[in-house]
Amino acid sequence: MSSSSSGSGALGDTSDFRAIFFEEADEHVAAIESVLLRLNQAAPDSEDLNAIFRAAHSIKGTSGMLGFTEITSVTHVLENLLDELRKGERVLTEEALDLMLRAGDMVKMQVAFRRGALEQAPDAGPIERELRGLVEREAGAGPAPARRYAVRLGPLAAPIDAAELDLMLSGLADMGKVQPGPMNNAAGGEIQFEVELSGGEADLRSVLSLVVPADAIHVDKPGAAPPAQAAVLSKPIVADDHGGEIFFDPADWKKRQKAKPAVPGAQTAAAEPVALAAGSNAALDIFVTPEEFRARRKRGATPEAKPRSPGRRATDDPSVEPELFGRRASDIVPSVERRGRRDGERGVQALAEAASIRVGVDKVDLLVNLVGELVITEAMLAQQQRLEEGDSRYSTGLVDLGRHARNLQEAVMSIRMVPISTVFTRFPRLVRELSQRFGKEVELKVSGETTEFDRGLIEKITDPLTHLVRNSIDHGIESPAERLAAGKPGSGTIWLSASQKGGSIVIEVRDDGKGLNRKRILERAAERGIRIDPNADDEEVWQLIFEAGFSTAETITDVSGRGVGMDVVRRNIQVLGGGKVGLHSREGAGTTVTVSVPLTLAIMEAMSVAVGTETYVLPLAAVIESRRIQHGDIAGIAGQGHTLRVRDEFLPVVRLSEVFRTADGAAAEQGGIAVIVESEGGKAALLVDDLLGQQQVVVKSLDTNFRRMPGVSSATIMGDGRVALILDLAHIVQFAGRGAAARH
Amino acid sequence: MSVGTAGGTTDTQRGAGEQLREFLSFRLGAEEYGIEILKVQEIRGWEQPTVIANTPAFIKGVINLRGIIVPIVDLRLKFNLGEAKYDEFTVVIILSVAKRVVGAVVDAVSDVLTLAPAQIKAAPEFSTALETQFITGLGTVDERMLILLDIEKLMTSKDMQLVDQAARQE
Repeated sequence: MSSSSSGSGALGDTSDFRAIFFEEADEHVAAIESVLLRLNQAAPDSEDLNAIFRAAHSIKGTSGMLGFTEITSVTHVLENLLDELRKGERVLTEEALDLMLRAGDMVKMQVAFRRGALEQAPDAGPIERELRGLVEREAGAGPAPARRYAVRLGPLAAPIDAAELDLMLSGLADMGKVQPGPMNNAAGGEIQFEVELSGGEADLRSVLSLVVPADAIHVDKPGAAPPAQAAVLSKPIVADDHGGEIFFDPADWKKRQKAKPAVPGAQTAAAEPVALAAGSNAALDIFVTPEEFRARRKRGATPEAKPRSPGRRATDDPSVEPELFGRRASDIVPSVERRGRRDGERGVQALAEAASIRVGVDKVDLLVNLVGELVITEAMLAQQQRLEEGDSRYSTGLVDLGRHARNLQEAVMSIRMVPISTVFTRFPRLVRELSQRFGKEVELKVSGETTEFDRGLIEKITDPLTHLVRNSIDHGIESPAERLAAGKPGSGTIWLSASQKGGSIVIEVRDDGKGLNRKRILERAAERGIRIDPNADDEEVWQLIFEAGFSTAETITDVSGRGVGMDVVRRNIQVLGGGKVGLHSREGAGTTVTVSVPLTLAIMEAMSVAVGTETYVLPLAAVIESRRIQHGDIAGIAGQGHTLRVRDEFLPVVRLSEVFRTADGAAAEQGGIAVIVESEGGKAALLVDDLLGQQQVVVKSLDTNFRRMPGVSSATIMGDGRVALILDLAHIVQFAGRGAAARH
Repeated sequence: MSVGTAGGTTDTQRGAGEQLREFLSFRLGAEEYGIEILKVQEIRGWEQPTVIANTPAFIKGVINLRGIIVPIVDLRLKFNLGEAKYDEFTVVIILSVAKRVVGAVVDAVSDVLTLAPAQIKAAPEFSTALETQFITGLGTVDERMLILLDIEKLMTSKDMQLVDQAARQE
């Protein structure tokens, strides 16, 4: 039910619509933001502006329908501004860009409020006034004067791909008016037309250079077209070397542009009409989508595709036709892809989205659970089979079952995976804002954003990464003046990259800033009473900044920092299934922080150990080694704590049987096994009775139906169907460390 | 028949009106209790749970219920009723309360009874093994008397230590 009355009556119960709207609005706002951030301010791509316009328009329409008038109001002003921008009636200023970004934020908050995620309704007044002010302030200035250019492309080294030519021309038609001239699209030929644009010659050339090499572009300044050419204008004919002719009608392009679905980004690329050149010398233009095209290919030439006048009637001959179409198919489909790439990711995303469905996370989790059960059941059956040495048909069946079960598990787990671009997309905005605030010029380069990882990690990894990027801008990248003085380009660069290495995703945050200051770190270490060899190698020195309270803000630079230090970053990464943080730095050259976390938290590489009758599971990432205990290895300190000497280290000993008070408590010290683990609390030796093996386990939360228990991070289900607890080593080691310290 | 799902039972309890309600009856010590059937997910035989250290004795541990980790409490131990034996006749009622799944061990499960509003009386102050705050009323069927429990309130109460309380130790 809509809380406001307008329009809700007709819809009846709108809760479904609202849920859809909330999701869509979030996506639209995200799309607006990402497009705004990649806009080239000097020469914004009209397709980009159209995409934002459509997104804003779509939010406006649906919010109006649902009676969310405050959202309608903001998007309305935003839409006005965008409309002027995309028509070229207004220049894209930094101010406009900022206002649009803020308007996007406002809509995001308004949607959150309507959804119930925000307690207070956000005040849209200021941003609306500013937007309106901007729209009104310059409204009287009128559109930029359109200039007329005569364009001559050629002599062509080779004919231009018909679809590309069409795309280019329709692109120009979007920017202004196009009047076609003689087009001889053949090797050595020339293509002529006139355009009226509000943009400069550079814009025009940049569009043209997408299809024609720069040296073949001739743009003549405003002037009348030669009279001879004017005569041809009424009947422009293009002869391409394949015997096809294409006719371009600017009015038609306009129409097609309008006819595009009002959904931003998505679909448009897939549905983008593609010019199909069929043999004809009459005015004939055929636009088909790839789907239509394939359909036509199947059923043969449709009437429209047939030439209306004689010429090289290739399509009339059934034996020739498939070949012609075949060639076209290969020409056209890649050209759609090329366009997708040229437009940034838009096209690619659009194609991907069209082939996906939205599924609730709970459904996926249920699938994961059921498949996990299936795998366990299969393991139980296999065990039974081995015991009974049954029929060979059964064993073959079981082997197959096992394989299918594991494939199924892999496939289901992959559903949970999302590309890391979902995390990376927020960084262009962050970098833009922070670099403005700190008066630095920073360029962000992102790579590997298609690397996939578990969606459950998105939230957990965003904060540490944000902190690292912020550190780089605040402390790493120098001011433009400093950089120039150091012989570097004035603009700094931050590289954000992701890649998959085995079962982990490795994310690298690299900057070309000034790097860590070894001297200052050593000074600070001395202040804090941390002993370190002054000649220690760099790697060891860098490790110091991960010490708690070793604030980078105070030591490495004098910029007053806020928030947390590297120790918190490391801790937050370590809790992610034993994630790791590495750091390399060269003074003057920059710093690289490498974060490595498991691809998923749902599955863990684990070691299971026996303590008494119980089985416990340790994250393998935390296990350093295990050793059998010999007599006298463990030294007691006044009958209280115990330490185990491993090489030169004395490690606190934790008797798991004591911690967990298992039935036959006293794990034999002799013949027992010590598992040396390392966690954020340091190292410790866990005494267990036996090592049971290493395997992948499916991690299950204990507090879904129960509650958190100290010393236990989660649980898993073992091959025999029983629950085993996964130990929270950080807690256990800390406990051991505290105990040992208290005893000293 | 009552409508509504497990989550909506509070409504059915208050506004029961003319509706007949179904209860699962079970025995605990000498008394017979009834719980709203909609809170019951299933009834299972006993299987040895995985013990969790540092929990009270009545929390028997956790079991794997088709991939879900479910804690098991023994109400006989919780309320000091008789001897807690575990054999093939021991039953566990798997409950779905407050969006959680928990298992409760009782002496025996009897049957499902349908009660009309007239058969349900307010609970007088009298002494049972359970505190009166968890008792919603008394049901009578023929010669039997059923103590009707608010099982959700009981299971999520601080006493049961099944749910993280605000001041949980960390």
